[in-house]
Amino acid sequence: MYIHSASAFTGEANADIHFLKEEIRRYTQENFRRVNRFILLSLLGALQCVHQQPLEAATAVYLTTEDGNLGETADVLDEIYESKSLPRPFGFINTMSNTAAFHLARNLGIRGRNITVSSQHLSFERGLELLKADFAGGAERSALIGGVDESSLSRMNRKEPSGRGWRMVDGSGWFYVKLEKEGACGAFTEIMSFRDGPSCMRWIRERERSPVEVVSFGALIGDDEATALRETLRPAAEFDYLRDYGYSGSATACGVSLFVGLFQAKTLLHINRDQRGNYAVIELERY
Amino acid sequence: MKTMKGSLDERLKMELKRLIVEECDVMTDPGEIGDEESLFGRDSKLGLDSIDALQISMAIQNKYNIAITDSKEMRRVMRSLNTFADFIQPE
Repeated sequence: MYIHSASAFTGEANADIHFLKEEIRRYTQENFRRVNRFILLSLLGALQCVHQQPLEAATAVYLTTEDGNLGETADVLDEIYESKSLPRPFGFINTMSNTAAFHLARNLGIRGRNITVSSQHLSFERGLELLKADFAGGAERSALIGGVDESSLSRMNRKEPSGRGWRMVDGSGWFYVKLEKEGACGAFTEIMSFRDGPSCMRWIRERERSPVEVVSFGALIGDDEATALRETLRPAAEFDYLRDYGYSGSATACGVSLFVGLFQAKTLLHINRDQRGNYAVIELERY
Repeated sequence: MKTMKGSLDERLKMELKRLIVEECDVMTDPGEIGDEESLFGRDSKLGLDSIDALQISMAIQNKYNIAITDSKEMRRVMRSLNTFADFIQPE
């Protein structure tokens, strides 16, 4: 899968909706009505990624998210169960998981497959795997794939308020990927899943590719584990995007897309895991 | 206390204009909504639709405790700001 553009928006948690709308006006004149923070974040990250790219009409949208429209869903549930009233229509509509991807496809005028994928901490990796399969099977030739999450109801925020000292942010990281290499700025060269840590480590030890230049770790990779991985991989550098850019449920999508724009190095290996102990590795090459 | 008909009550009309702008998330200054202009449909300046109508009906139920359950009545009531104000405050 060849990367034709990549970018990320990471903003202060709970930023004013009007601020997000102002930011979006840098890329489109459309006034988005009936939208919430999650939808605006999706639009902002994706439009920032493709604003100088001519898109094919059949481009698909794969939106990945850990928590989805959870902020608005919580408000709607409060209306129903706490206030004992009917939910307001705009809020109710926006609780549907695919609303953000719909708004994005409509604004860009693209009519390809339009799906939302969620799988805890590995949502972006699962979305990439699905897209890889769809590319391989000929179902898609170009797609916008991104990860979007609000910080407000993040599990990490609730369970580890100060945690490892990461700042909580709203995040929206996106890639425009195509089957064609011409004009690409990079490629996803590996997307691998493992049922546990030892399987992941075995694959890393046995891989026969050229040395990794930059390594990055997902939020649930512990310090001891990260040390062992560093010793095995011996990377030239580490990209601690969680420390530098903050944490959101879509920190992986943001971190990996930031690598494309920020680093001169050619290769990145990103290692991540979820609460169930499943592991995933993304390998990316910059041109 | 006897109240005046809604369409003659400038304070109420401005309140309803603000409610429409806020509830329907439209980029318009409330003061720019004409008292007789159409609120709904593609030809109207605001271009509100049936989902907006539902949003407004929920808002007036919460704010004024007035329910509109019939969609035909809703269309009649929401024809313009004046008809809307007269419905909220008949006299």
